[in-house]
Amino acid sequence: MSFHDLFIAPLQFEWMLRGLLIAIFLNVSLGIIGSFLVLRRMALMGDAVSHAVLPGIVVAFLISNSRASLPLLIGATGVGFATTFLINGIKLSSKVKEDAAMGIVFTSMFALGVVLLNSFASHVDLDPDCVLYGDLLGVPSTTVWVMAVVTLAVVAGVILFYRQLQVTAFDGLFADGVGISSNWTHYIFMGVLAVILVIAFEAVGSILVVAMLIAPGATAYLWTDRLPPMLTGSAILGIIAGVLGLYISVWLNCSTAGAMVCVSFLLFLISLIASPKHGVVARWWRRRKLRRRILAENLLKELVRLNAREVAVSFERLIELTRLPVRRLQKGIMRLRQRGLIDRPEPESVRLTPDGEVEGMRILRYHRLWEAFLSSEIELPEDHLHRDAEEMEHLLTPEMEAQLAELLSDPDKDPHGSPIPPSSSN
Amino acid sequence: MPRKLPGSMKVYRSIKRYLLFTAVVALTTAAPAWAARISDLQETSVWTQIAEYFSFSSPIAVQTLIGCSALGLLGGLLGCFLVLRRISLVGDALGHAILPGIGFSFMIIGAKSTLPLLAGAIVAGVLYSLVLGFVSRQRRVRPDSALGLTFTAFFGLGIVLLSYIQNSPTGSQAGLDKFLFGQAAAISMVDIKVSIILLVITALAIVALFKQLQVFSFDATFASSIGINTALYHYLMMVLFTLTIVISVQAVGVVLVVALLIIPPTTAHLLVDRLRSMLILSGFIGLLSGAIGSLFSYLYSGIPTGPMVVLASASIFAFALLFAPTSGAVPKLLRKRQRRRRTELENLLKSLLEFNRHRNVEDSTPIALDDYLRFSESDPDWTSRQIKRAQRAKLLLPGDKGDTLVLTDAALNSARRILRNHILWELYLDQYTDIAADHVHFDAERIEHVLTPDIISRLESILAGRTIGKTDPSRGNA
Amino acid sequence: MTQAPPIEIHDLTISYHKRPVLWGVDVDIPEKALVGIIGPNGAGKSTLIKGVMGMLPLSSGYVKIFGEPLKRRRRDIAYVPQREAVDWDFPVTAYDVALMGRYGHLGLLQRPSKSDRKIAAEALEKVGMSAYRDRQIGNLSGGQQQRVFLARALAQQAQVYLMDEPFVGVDAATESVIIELLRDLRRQGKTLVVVNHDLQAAKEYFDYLLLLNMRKVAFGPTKEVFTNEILQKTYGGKLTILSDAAEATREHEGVPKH
Repeated sequence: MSFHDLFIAPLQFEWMLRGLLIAIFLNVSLGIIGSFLVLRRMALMGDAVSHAVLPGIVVAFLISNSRASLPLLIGATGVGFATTFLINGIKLSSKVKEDAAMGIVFTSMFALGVVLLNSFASHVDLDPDCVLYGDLLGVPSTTVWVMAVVTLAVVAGVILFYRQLQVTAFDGLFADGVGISSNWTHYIFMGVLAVILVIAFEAVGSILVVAMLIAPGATAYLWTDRLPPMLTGSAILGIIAGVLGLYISVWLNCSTAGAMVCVSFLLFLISLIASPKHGVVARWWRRRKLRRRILAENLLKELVRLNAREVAVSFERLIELTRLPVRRLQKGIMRLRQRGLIDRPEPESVRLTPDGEVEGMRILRYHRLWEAFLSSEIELPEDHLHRDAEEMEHLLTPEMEAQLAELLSDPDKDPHGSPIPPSSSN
Repeated sequence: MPRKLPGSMKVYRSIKRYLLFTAVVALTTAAPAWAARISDLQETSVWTQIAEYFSFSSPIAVQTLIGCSALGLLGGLLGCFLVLRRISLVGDALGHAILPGIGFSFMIIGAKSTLPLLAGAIVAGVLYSLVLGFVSRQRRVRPDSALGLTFTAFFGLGIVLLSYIQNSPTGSQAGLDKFLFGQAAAISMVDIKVSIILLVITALAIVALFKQLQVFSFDATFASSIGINTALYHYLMMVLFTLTIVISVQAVGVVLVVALLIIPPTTAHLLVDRLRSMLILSGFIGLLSGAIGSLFSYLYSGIPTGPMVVLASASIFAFALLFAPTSGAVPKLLRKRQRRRRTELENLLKSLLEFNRHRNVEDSTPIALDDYLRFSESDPDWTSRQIKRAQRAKLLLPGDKGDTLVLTDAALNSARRILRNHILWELYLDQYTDIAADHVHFDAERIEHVLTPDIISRLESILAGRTIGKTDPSRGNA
Repeated sequence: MTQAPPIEIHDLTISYHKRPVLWGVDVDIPEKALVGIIGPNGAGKSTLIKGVMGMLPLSSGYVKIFGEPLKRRRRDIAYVPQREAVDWDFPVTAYDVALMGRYGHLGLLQRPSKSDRKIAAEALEKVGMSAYRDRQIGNLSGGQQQRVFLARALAQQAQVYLMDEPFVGVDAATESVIIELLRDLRRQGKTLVVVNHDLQAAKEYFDYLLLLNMRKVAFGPTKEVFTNEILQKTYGGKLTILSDAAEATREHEGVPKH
């Protein structure tokens, strides 16, 4: 199958275009609102509300007997909103804990919705299975317009009330202190959330929608430390997941919402692994770099101790002293040679270059300086010093070195009586 | 830390109770309403069918009843630890996350048979725990996000598989959608055997390891300090949870299976104060909900069982929430009302006594109602209501002349006690705390009704020999 | 060489989330002593006793209880964690909690015997909580809850007691009950180590003081170490370099072994 068959061909259908619009609108508003849920640590509240709107939706369907109507929106939103009150009420007025209160309220409401739906299914054109995963491609075009308006409203609202949303998500007490009511912000926020969940219901059902809420925000959060890029990022991630998910569902003839969620989670996993700051790979890479540096620094330090500037040291001797595996030692030496810190006068021995000596002296200085610090300031006994200094010599920064030297008034001997090399910077 | 409640909180507090009430009523009426509806749809009346059900003549009905009750009991027992350790929502996540396992094993086997589906579900459950563990360990991902993200992702995959199977030529009649909301009538003999084995194992584990499970759930730090391997018990519990969820899915479905594990224990916790009784009660409530659920499933096969089981146990929960003797909302309200009435009565008696003392007559002198009303600043309607109540309680007697009242001895004692408490407390606040004099009165107005004999005797010993102005605390007893 | 000390701490370094909070602590807690651990916030007081209880991984050093590893002497050591850590709605009574003190002495499937029950009841009696035996713990006041936890420790019948801030949030009556109990235990030859942050109380109550601030500042009889100079050293601000170093270690997520 060619690219054209896969991506362009489906676009000739009107329902596909409509589906794309819905996917984009829905995921943008869910992603943006969801980012705040993630930051407020209320992801599970989103789950609870999305389950709980079901009876509201069903009852409103029964009364208004239409799929896209204002009473439906209001009724269902009211129920969703009431859920948050109910969970809070149970939590505050009894010894039921928040998690159990949430679990009980949303399962009960949801159960009520399913029972209502099943018993009156013949009266409304609402497929019971849609409750779980919606029917994105069957959404009428009037709903698309509603979604467009709501999405625009969400974006505009976030831009207009950015300050309030940011400060209440970060520190509610402070917000109250500066006159931004965290309570009202919370309730308005929950109201907006309920509206979006109700609108999303037809397209994606009431369970999978949680993933569309949380995943983009949580994913964007892995890439950035700031709120504005997180919001735009989650909108973009939402669009990618929505569009790709839609195509996949068309190719495989499977549930659209399910496919979107799978793509969304895949994006999350990829970010978890690949994000430059918080990703697993990045962390592994940093640790590898640190390990290599430590190996190099330890070798240099050892060579300085052996006075390898003047006399070449044999591999055997180094292996004996450092107790390193031969391969690791060889790799370490190779890297040091590439950096021009050592040279090899003979195949099986090494010698420090002037640069290498300077670097080795620095490490030795850090090591002994730290020992001197532990001994004189922390008053640790002599036999406790070495192991800690073995670690700290690799972590000290020039600023800390300067502080130490000043604190200890530039000592020239370490606690064991060995000389501390002078600072290389002067 | 006392913090002034913002206006919205006040509104919230007042709405809260009504909301709770409406929701509870909605939940409790849902089941009977549904029963009524079923009888509309069926040719025979619902009562005939119930009678038929309980004659145990239909083997399928018996099978369903046994299966659902066993599952309810199992969930009720095990769920106690889930709820007490506050990880209810992990149970919810686990319930959703096994769906792809069911889908996959169907795709491989090509038919719906119990054991392979269970195996698939268990594999998915274990895989899910691993993924959740990995995602939760990432410091950048919040715990709630980690939970919500992973289980919906697994569920999404499950839905994709299920919809794919259903749209394929062989899958349309597979009936896999029954796993979403459950169908108790579809419980097979194998299901029942497996669940009874699991029930026995769970019960034995709880009995044998009761002390470890108790101390571990209560105070994990302490448990590890006495050498209990907390990780081991955590995993033991998680394995049992997973197995319970997996085996329950056929009957109640993945979406609502967690309710089986959390509603009965939470209800039991509202009613009892010991772990042992909580376990027993919770097991019983679970069993009851299961039985009711199976009954409904028998009565009308078109309704999935899961929601019915949930509604049955939710009704019991709502009932407990409202009527639990100590913590229930209704008893609390009644107690509050009783306290308010007593306070009002005591205030009336006190005020009558004060009136007599104000006139410098004997405490027991009859009081003319008109004179008193002129003296007291309170609302006449309120006062006459209180007087009627006091008369009913035999605290006030009509005097010789028309429209006069006499305080009985009991009333005098009560009034003197309150007055004395009031004075003692004012004295204490005045002498030992830095509360301004004009703030004293209002505070004592409330405290006087709640001081215990113990506190009073302590106040007396502190204040022995002291007086304020012309009031002498010892006069209250005169 | 005389008998091994109740607690021997040697070169103990402990990190929280890769960030060292205690460096190279050496202490031998003497027998039959009432020892207070004092120091500013974040000095590593609770960390130290959690380290002794084996609840935190040690970056270096070791702890010995009567000269043996903790695993072999677990029954000789009782630990009273900080109070707020548990769920007060948990369905247990005061007596149930006291009985938990016996659990460490029971085998895997063994149930508490009559004598265990007696010990638990006596422990409640000793802290003056017999009257509240069947109360659910959430219905007790803060001080009463603390006493129940003390009863649990008493029921352990250990030789060494480690207590984390037992005086926090308790009423005056409970405080005096606790201190009497501590003295009573010492008279019976037990060793007690108590984390405390109230300096004045520390001076009054304890025979020995261990002053901590990310490292051991001093350890010795209260009279000798409760001096202005040592207090100044303990409370006189953090050692910024030590904090910086700890921060650097955390940033690198620990130093890989090479």
